[in-house]
Amino acid sequence: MMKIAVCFKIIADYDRMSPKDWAWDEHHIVDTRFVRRIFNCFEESALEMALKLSRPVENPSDKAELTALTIDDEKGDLFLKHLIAVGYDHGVRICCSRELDLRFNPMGISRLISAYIRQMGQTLVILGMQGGEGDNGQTGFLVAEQLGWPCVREVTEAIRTESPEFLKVTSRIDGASLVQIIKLPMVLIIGHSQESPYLRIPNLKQKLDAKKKQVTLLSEHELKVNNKIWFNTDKTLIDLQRQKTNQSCIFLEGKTARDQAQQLYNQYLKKRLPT
Amino acid sequence: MKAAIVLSADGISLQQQAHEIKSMLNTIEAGFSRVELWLFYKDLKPELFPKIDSPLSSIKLIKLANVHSPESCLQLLERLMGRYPMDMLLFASDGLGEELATRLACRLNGSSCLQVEECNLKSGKLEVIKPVYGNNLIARFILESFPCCLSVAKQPCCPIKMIPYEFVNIKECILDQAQPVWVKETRTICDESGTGLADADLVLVAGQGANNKETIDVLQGIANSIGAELGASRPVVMNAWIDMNRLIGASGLIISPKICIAAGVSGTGVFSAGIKNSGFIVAINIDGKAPIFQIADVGIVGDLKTVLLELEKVITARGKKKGHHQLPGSGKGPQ
Repeated sequence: MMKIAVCFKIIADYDRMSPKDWAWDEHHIVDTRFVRRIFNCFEESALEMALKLSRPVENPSDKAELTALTIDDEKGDLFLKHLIAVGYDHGVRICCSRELDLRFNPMGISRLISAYIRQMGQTLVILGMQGGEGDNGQTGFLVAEQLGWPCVREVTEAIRTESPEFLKVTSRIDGASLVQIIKLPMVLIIGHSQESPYLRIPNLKQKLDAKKKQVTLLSEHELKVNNKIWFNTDKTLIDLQRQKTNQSCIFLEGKTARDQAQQLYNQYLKKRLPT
Repeated sequence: MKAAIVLSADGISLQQQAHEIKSMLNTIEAGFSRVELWLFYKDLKPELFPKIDSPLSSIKLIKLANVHSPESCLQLLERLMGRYPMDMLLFASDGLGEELATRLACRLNGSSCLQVEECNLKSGKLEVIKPVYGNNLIARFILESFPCCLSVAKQPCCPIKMIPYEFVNIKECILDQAQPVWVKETRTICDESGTGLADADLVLVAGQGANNKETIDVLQGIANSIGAELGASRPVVMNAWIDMNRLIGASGLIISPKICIAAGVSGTGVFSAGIKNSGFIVAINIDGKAPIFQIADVGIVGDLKTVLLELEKVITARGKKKGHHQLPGSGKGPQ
């Protein structure tokens, strides 16, 4: 049976933060505890894609075992329960020591993920291409390096083939789509997928059933990733700054849309449009 | 410090990628003792090369048996680094550049960083600047070990000139390559022709506020009528209301038109990265507190469709008076 692990990250919804919320302490930690948390968009696609892959429409009995894996504190459990409700067989949370700052340490994250993958004998790892505080965009590549597996980046679709050992993977490359038949095991890094843009929503019964199931908790010690050297990072954060913004936006106050359009054209666009 | 620029001659974005690397090289104050260009190619040996400002010490042409195998590129790069050690490797901003930078640094026990906007040598270590927290913040890092493998940040479209390098040592590197055993079949489906978004003077960008495909179709009509190209934010693309190749933002196109009209776009950091280089930004949104107004020059709080239909009337009336209403494309050519 194919064993699929989807690694995801829950992030603060940055759209809900006002300019004054972007402040940090002496350790460069931005306090986002008051902001609602959401699935990282690429990993939301990854989670939905894995659901489709695990329950092929043409052969529903040929199920794959599906695990959702996250590195988080107890707030992650709510999202894992949601995933169990929509069809994930296992929800696993790796809970690290509080002093470990993994925001800008994709190598440390990849070591934890690959230790779990090896321990559980997974054959397919799926992740999103970028997200989280660090916007590192490197975890998937580093998981592939740790496992010594091939990896495909910017994946838009993955489907089963007649052979259980292979997947048909579509990905984006420079100016084209690349379709490959690839042998498992592998790491897939999901990009913009119009085929699986959003995660499905569970019904009430699924939610109630999921409540009864347990999330598996693991520490870095249980994964035997307990040597501090393994969490050494290749870069050290020394400073954060706000992106530049334009504080002088001029609002057009016309009474009607027609007035506003006329004002916009006469005062600002006319001189900028070629005559 | 010795540096190599790693690019693929067969990619359609070679000139743009070279421009992005050139821009980043210009931010480095420290002098290089050596800058090389390492160029992968598949069939035709390149005779023209991107015009980089830094004087090139050497060009190495690396024949690649399988252009779709990053693993082959990585193995070749490992061997080249064994023969010609470099302190810094600069990779393109695309997915391949990001993959090679990350995996090569891992194999060579070096450091890597992606989407690097600036870098500099300070006290013998490399400092880099890159966006973090969904493009809302900029972070400065020190890279702890050499070689440093960097993938540069995307820049607005500005393809650089290709020239022959007559006085530079050009060396062909033909190395044995193992074929990836895990790939059974490969085929590519090329995109239809480009959108014209990258070098348009006037761009209308639709956001989630458009609400449905019908409004997007109306906006496409308005864009055609006023001589604009239509782009979109991620939710619009993910709902398949418009083609993927019209996605604007950090993970899509970075545009720099003379005028950008962002309609119904909330203005996330990731999206704003795609339009912040525009000459003049107009934001239309029903929410006056939307973050898009933080980067706009002019804002209209109102219904995007109503405002844009009125704007269309004004612009086309002006066109009729003057005998034309289409903006000529600027067609930003090579520098």
